[in-house]
Amino acid sequence: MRKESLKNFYYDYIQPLLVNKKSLIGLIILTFFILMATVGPLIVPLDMTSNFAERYQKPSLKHPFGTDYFGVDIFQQIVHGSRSVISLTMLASFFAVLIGTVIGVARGYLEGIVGRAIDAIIMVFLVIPSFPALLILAAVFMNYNLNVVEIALLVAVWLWAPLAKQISAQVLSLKSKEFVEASKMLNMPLRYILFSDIAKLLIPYIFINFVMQIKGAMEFSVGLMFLGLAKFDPTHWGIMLNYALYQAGALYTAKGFHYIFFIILNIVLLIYGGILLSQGVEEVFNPRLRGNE
Amino acid sequence: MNSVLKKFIAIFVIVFFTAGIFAGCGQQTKPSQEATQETKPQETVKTGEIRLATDWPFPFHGNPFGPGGVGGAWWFVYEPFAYYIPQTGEYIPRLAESWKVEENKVTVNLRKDAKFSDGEPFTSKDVVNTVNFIQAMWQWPYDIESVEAPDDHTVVFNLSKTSSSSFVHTLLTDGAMASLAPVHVYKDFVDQAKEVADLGKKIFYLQTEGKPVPEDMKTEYEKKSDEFRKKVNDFAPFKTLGKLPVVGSFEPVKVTQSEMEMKANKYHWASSQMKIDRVIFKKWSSNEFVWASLISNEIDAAHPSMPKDVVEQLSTLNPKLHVLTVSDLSDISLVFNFKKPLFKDLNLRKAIAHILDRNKIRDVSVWQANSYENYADGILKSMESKWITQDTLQKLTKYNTDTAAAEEILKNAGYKKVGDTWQQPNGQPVAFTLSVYGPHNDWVLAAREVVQELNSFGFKVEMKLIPEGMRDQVMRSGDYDAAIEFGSAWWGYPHPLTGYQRLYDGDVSAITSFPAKDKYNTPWGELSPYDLVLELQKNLQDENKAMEIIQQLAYITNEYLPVIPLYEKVLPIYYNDGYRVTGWPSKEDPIWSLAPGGIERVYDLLITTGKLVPVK
Amino acid sequence: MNYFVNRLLYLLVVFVIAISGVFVLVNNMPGDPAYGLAVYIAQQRNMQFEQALEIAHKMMGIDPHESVVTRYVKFMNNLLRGNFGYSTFYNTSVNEIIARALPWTLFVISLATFISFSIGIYLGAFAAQKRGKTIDTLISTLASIIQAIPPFILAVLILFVFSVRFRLLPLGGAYPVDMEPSLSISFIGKVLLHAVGPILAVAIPQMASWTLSMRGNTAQVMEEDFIRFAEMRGLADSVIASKYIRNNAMLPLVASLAIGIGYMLGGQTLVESIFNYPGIGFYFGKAIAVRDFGLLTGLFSLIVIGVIVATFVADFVYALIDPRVKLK
Repeated sequence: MRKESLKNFYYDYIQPLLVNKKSLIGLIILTFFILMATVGPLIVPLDMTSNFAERYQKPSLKHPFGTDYFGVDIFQQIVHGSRSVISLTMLASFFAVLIGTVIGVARGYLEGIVGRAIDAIIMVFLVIPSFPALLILAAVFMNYNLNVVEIALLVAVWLWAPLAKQISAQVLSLKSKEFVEASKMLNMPLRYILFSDIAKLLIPYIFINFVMQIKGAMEFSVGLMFLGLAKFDPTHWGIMLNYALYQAGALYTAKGFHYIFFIILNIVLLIYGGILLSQGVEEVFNPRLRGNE
Repeated sequence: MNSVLKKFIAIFVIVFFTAGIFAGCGQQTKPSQEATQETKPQETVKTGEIRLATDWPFPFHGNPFGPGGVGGAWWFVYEPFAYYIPQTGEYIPRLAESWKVEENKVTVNLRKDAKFSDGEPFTSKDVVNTVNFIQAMWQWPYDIESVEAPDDHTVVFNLSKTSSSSFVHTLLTDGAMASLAPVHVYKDFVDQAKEVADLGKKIFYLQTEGKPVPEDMKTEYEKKSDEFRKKVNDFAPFKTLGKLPVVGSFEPVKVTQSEMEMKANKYHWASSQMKIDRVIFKKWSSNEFVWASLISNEIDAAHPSMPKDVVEQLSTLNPKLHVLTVSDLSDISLVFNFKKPLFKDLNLRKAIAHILDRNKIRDVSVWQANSYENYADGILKSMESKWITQDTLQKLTKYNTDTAAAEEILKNAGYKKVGDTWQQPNGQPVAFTLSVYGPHNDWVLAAREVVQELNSFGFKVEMKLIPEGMRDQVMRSGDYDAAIEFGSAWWGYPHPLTGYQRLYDGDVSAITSFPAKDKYNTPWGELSPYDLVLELQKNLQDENKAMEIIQQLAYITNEYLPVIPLYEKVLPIYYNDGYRVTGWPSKEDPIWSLAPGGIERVYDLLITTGKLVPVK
Repeated sequence: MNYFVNRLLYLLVVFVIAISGVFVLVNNMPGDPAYGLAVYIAQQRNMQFEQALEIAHKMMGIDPHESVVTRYVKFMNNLLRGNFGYSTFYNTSVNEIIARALPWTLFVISLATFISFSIGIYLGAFAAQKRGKTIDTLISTLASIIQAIPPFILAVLILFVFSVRFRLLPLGGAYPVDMEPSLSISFIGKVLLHAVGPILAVAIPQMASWTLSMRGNTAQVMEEDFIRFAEMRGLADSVIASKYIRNNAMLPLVASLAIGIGYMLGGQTLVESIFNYPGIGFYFGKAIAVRDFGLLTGLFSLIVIGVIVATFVADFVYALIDPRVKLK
């Protein structure tokens, strides 16, 4: 029985993703980065000893991505930095998406005064500008030693609202659709309607939002690191980028081109992988789009 | 197609309606100041122009007592009695023709041809009013007990008995002392200023003599000073008068958020020499903007920190650009919190001094800076040869990078290395956090390197950033283990006294709680650095005695390490020769040493002496 | 009109909660605006720090013992009269700062938003209709990449390429320092030229995200029944594309547009500082750095009000163009 459902799960959800070109490429890219964050640091040693004489070396066998302004290998830093990028950033966008979805669906489904109240809460978080608010919140919490999860939550608090708003709108419009009406008429429990019908339709939507949040979460977490709230990690890609731009002025000198290039390449690749996967997910799970293929 | 049009109209409506509402709000709250400030008639007789970068408060009020003052225009607008060139020890007369220092009395003879930019003569009454003003507004400097004007061109300052010996230097060179509050601009405030200043002084002297201050005197003072301060703060000469009469060489005539235009003071005493009659300040909005402006000849001089490789490329990007460095009269140090038991152990501090590779820290942090290779004696690197004798150097411990020596010291003191980690004699690991102020990029880089070096030696050090706006609070409250901070600094009066005062009786001792009053073993016997500083202050005029005390202080500082200096900060000055202006002095010219604490003084001096000339 | 009264009341509630939240947040921020000055005074006059702090408070006109409630009442009271408060750092009313800085920010942002939204909508819809074709892959890949590039890199690049290397654009300021503001063609031309850099830096990343969102929305709408129906009715493809698909796909984006514009009233601190362009972003950064609580709450309120007004306008427009929302 259990095996059967697993099998079903595979054919329903996994196999289509592997067949779709976009989601396959996206999955490969993301798997690569996840491996980088988990196994990478065990294989690639990190030597942060600065060596000013060896700064800005071009990519070579010894330094696959070259060396940075301090003469430290860029590749090693990228590998070790992926850990904090994936943990803090991904966690923050995950929380944001989770909060946004739950509240958004709840708002879409609940009517009357409760619905209005939830709506007002969403609106309040929408109208307060997030980044400065986060900076202030960071200052407020400066003397607490927060762990990664708490910091990710702190970031997520300022990211979830737009998603919740969009999801509630989606749910509202889905609610009136025939098949939901049909489920209702069949007297299916609310829970079932929520998770089976609506959630399925929302998955692509949520996914693309998750990817879009990564960039925001990355900027936010860099901001927090410079504020001293999050533990300062010089290999975090955002911090590396900051060094490259503001301290080393790498955009102004031809020597520094590879310094910026490889950092951006990895950020772009990570996000692009996510976007590809989410577009693939959209094509696979949005039945109407599937028909079009 | 029609519906597309409709959509665009809809977007337009949203965008511009919202925009309109706010722009509308803005317009309503924008009264007449616009008229006075931005639509001034403009005479454009151009001869020479120089473009610089700085900062200023905007909306611009032109009130030196107001927040932000007049920004970077300060040294063009207000002139001190004299400029002091640290490298030669020479005073260059500006508003003063000459001066005489007697016991507690300074007589200044003012320049007779000095005039404000509106044609009014500058007289001793302006100086008297200025002193009253700053004493009333800032409760400083109470070193001046009274000030008299025997005639229009003579001012006599009577200094209080408790006045510090370096105050004469401040009196002569501080831009605030001479011309901040011209009588004809601040005429409505003159009497009130004097009243508040006198009352404040009276209370202050009673307090310093340890006598009780009558309560009613205090309340009267509070009331009057609040009233006065409020009145002055609300005064914005640039807005109400539409101009800012200045005694200095240039007057701001047009100020926006991103640019400030200044016209030469036609009546300036040196105006016949000046070949440049316009200064444009660009807002120093970011280092990137300043780099871009220097490279593209948009500004003629600035002093941003610039990475080595960018500087190396400058000659190809803009061959007219030159760079030189002068000491910024301060050093960046590793400071310890002596309330933490860990750092009370001198052995650990000595070991750290040996572990750190200070050349390397300099390289990654500020590559142009002067490194302290061997010593930590509290004398700025660039001044060492002038103040420390060879004989003293023989006595000092050399802290060259030598991890073996560090291990030796630690082992002898009972520390031991277990696995990769060093343990204190009590079995605890040598673990601490290094705090550094986040917005100071170069400090963060230095901290990063220090942490890296200490960790690879076998300590457990973590780096912690202090958020913007919290530096003073964190450091003052002692909420740190070790930190990167200014160590010795010779701001104001460039003399070892200023540096040692800071270490043992000033900011650094306040944040580190170094026991400066304790006695320390020296070749001259048991001495307390705190007492030595007081003694040095008293014997400043006696060169031999002062020199001897300085040697003793250097010894204590080097051997007992209240801080470990990392590098001496330098000011890199970039100037563009031959695009708009030319005639810059050679890189060795002592004039450049006037730059720390007010680089505009250098530009002002070069313009008013006719050295800087426009390119034909 | 009942709908709008309702909506207005609702937004008013949101406004009060949001503003109060901001006030609480800002007032709990550690740091004392007078601290820096106090350290300076203590050093200059060699006096006790506590005494110096007291003087500094006086000089800046701050009463540290004023209760939070009093401050809150004062703040709300002022706000209701259109007074955004007082900046202790600049010693001037926040209204004056807003009046001087906001027009430039608005100018750049509204132009950038208009351009990026128009182009993004068009590109997104176009890509969705060509789903699966090379042109779609090209557009969405490019948009994804641009979307992923940190915006300040783009700003520095634009500055360096256009203003430094090729000297096509002026460097810094909103107009040449030698010109006086007027309505002449040459002045307006210069203003536009000076704004090109900041506009590009704001518009390009935005355009990418509008493209991506629009592409997603269009794809969904394309499969709606009424489109099928229109196809069956034999309407020309171009009519369906513009009249039905694009219109309907755009609707949800109008709400994001409104919120986006409201947010941007806070200015673009980074873009403004890289281009040395006058605007309100500069003050936001400064207010946090120097703990200017008055300025901070004032600017926050401005943004909150901005988003709310924009949302209200969007609702209104929405009702106008979407037949499904009825003006009851």
